[in-house]
Amino acid sequence: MQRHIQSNKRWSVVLVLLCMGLLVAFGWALDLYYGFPYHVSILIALGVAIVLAVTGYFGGDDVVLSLSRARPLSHDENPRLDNVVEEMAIAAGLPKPRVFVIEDPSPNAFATGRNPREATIAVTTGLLTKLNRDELQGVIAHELAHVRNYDTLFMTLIAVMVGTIALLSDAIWRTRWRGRGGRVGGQAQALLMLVALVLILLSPIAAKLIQLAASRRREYLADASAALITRYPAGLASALQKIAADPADLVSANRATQHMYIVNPLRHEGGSSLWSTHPPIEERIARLRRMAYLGEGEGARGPLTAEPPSAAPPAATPTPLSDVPATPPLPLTAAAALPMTPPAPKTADTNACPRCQEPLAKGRTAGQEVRGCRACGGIFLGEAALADLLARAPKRLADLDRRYPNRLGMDWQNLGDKTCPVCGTALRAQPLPQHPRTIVDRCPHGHGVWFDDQEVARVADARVSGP
Amino acid sequence: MPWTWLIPLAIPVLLVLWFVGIYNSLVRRRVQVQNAWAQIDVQLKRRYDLIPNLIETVKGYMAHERTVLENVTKARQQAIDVSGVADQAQAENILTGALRQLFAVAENYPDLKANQNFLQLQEELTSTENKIAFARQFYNDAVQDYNTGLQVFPSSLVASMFGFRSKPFFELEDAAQREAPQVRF
Repeated sequence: MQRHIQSNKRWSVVLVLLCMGLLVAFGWALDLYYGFPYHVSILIALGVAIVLAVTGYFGGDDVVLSLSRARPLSHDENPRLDNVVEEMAIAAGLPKPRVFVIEDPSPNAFATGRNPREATIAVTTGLLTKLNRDELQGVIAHELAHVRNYDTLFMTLIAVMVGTIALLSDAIWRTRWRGRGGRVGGQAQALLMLVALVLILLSPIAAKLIQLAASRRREYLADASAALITRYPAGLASALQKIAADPADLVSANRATQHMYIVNPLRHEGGSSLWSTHPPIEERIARLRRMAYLGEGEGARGPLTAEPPSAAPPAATPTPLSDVPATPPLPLTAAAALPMTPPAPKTADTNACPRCQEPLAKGRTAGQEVRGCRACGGIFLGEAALADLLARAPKRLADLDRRYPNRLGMDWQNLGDKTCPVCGTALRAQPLPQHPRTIVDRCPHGHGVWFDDQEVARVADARVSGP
Repeated sequence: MPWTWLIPLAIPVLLVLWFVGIYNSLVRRRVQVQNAWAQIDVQLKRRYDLIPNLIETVKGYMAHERTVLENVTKARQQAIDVSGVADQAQAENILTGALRQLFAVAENYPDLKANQNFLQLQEELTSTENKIAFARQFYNDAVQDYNTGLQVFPSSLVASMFGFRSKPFFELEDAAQREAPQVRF
């Protein structure tokens, strides 16, 4: 992460120097071609380049915001958005950014600003009406990830500098043929004209290429960071789905700012995919869905939602379990009212971690087979193995937790659906008979018991030290 | 060569610099933990401030739900009075539970649910609840980062030398709640 930030800062400097160089080269080419006195065109180009760099750095966010016709939003105008932004800023450990809104029915959002203290998030009114709270959290977390990674610095500079250069080269392209002969004649002039032409042609292409390089890895990284910030990848996934499915184009977006948005706002304009600034949205959604440590869709989660998760993607219809006491409809619900996946046995032994879907590592302890997850630190034990180890070798059992450390570093209690690694059936939470204070997840088909990180040690230690 | 005599001098200097680097990174992480805790504190206070307004708004509609309202008031007072991470966490859990109950009961009062003031307070309290949850998440991440620094070699040497102490996690569920068999998903 730190390296990514450094690379963004470095590339920002490179970009600024490159653009300045390009502009000065323009001036030089014009100078040679038209032969202005005192190299005035070089000096002008240099001046323009410096002004551009300075405004790009200090005022780039305002330029981009006014280009996008965004206006500041007060808390009372949309408390939900303002609150969600503040929630996500807290989760990401950043100062709360300014919140702007763009009047447009097409759902989209972007972030800008030269550093996290000077950041702004702009969303369209379409986004506010079309997304529920979970999805909005995902989108805002994605934008905050851009802010935290200093992507916004680089992307804003690109918008301002490259945008201006593209405009300039357009202008020059139009006046190009009206040039008179300069000091140099004949062959040399033809050569210089060629150089000028190449420069003029090159700059928009270079600009495009930078835009391309700018976005792909950044978007994936921001998606992943958003998943980490919200601990709920399904929210962003379903938001992306809704945004992608929306037919409207964003009116105020243009070639200079398109790369800043969460989903390319000009995607309906056609044109080859070579020029698209964003990774394919299907791939982004698929990647988010694969971060399945919270299950597909509405798993239980830490933070709370005011609305029920509405556009949940999985087809499985939630069925309340018979042994669950009927939960009242709580608006401040966390885990309580969330449904559980119905039993859906898979065909083969998937050996996937019930928590994080990583493949489990098999091993042996005191003669019994054990499966553990090296990512989340959980342990899966067959019923017979568990009984045997508890009776015969509780110390060895306690050692297991050290063998499978919680590398992801998450508090796994009460998070996500869990399925049996052997048959894929949803596990049932039950108190362990040998240690009723610990609630474990048991396969209803008797394949075994799942212990979250540290749970095995707690059970085994209780056995060692006596009841 | 003329500069070889510098080597025995350079080694201790580098060692000291390295030492200082580790020490500073530990301090930085500790400050991060303190900041994260301050953020939780801000949100907890905000929740305490919102609750009297909520009770005031709800009172007229829910005259028959005296105990529910009293539970919230009591839980709020208790949460204000306690100190220490573990006690605070427990008191906050009780308050969260009491608030949930209140909002659950409020579902039975259509007039109340149409009240603009109530809806606004509900949004603010929901969000504050979220902010507490996310602040807690951030705090726990910071604590984990810091505590890991205390345990891994070689920063553990520096930590024990300067008496860095590990910080407790802010647990949402307390032990008593875990004892009661409940269905988890």
